[in-house]
Amino acid sequence: MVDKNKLFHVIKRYFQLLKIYAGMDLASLMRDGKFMAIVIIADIVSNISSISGIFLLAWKFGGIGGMDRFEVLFMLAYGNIVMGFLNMMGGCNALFPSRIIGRGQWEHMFIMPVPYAVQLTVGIFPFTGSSSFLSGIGMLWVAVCHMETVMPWWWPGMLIFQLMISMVIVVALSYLLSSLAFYAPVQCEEISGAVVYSMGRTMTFPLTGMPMYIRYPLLTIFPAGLMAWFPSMILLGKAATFEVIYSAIFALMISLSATYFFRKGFRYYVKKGINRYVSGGHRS
Amino acid sequence: MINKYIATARMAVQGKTGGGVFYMFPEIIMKAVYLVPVMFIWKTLVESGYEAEMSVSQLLSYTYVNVLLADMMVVYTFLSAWDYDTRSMEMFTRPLPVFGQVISRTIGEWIPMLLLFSVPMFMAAPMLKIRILPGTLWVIPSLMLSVSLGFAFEFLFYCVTVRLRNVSWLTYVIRSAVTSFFSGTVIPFKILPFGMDRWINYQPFGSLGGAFLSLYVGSARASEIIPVQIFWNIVIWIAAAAWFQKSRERMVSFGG
Repeated sequence: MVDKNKLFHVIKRYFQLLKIYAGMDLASLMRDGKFMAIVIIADIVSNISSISGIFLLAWKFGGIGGMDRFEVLFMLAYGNIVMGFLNMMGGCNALFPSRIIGRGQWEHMFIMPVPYAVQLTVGIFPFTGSSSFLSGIGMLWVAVCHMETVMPWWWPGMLIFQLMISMVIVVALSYLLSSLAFYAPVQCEEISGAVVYSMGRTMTFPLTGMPMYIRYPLLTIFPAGLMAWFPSMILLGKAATFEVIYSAIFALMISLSATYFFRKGFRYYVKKGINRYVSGGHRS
Repeated sequence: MINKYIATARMAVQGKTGGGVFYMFPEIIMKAVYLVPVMFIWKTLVESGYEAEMSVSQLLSYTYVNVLLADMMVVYTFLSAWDYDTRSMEMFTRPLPVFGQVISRTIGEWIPMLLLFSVPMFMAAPMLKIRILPGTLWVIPSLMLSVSLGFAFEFLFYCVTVRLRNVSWLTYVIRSAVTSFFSGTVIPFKILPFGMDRWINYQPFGSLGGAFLSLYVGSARASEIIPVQIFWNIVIWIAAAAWFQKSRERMVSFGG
């Protein structure tokens, strides 16, 4: 009974904190009209620029490697939704745990009266950080409207499922590599950033038509292909039946590995700790 | 006088390698991972029978050299990073001009990656059948102008950060997205659709890495590239210096 009350309290607190963070984000956006206008215009320009290169190539050549123009746009939109959602929800470094660990800030979390998961996931930016996510949805809509294929009734469900799997893979990979920051906090502080940003850059390349020795590493060792290209192939009906479950199995395996190594690193960290702050208050 | 700048650059090298060279390998691997699919995009396009304004050899060299010299193609300094540890304030406590400090420190930070990644990859290029030598010696002044303009933009965007009350992240994201396309370093202007190459060369970001790379692979002439680069260097440096002087007293920094 006590546990049930505690769980209810945590869930209630979680939503309260989400609301507080969302409120702070809105306040930062609305602090003055000029600032808000700059942010909105800059966001639009930034989002168009980030996908325009590959899309313009696809437009010029009528597609890339067996994908037509709007299939390429679909893939880019899918990737934007994945990264946009993760950046919106994990902006307070929940997506980049090596920064928290490497900066010695995980210790700060020890004294907070809510679980780690709650602390990590409440730092959202729904107003200033949602542009990529929203533009991704817009582009996906445009791409789907221009496709000749008729989508079956279960397609929206499959889309959401694939999006969740792609997000799980990015988060799990980030946590898996961030485990190294428990052992080498200074050197590995930015390892999650390096991995996530590299995945974000590499995901925009359509892998159709590329040789196996390029495609397979990008679906296994460095799974940038699972962030946009591979799920797009599944959703566009261009993948074989057995391939449909590959990304789900991969997500499960990498999540289990991340859990194991992160816990192992954490046990090391609580024994050794780190001290990166100098007396002046700045990091060494 | 020059010794002060060399010492600053040396400190930057040590700062980059202080934790051990081994810890730079993830960054090197990420660069290689990015390079491979981009190069294969060109091969895929050409093998599909599409006709582009540049040959596959030029496209491969363009991408390859861009990755090798990535730090110089679009310059980022510590001014673009979060200003959490008062680095911008520290600049004013040292007996060196602010501009000189930023430039020497940034060049110092480039050196380890040039030695560990760019030089070996340069040597390996012939084995990968990449044409690595430039077609003209005009690439040297072009590279210098490109780097110089990169620093000017860096100061200009730093002023944006200061004026927007330290929204460093927002400025960084916007700038990265805009420069990745408008600098022409990822997709050469020459192969863009709708005749965009006719005007996009002349916007200021076009004189960054993309201009140098076009010259390097021989898809543009020095007479087209260098005058535009000189023009934008003059305009952007004047703007950056003037705005920096006006913005410096508004700087705010905080610990973290």
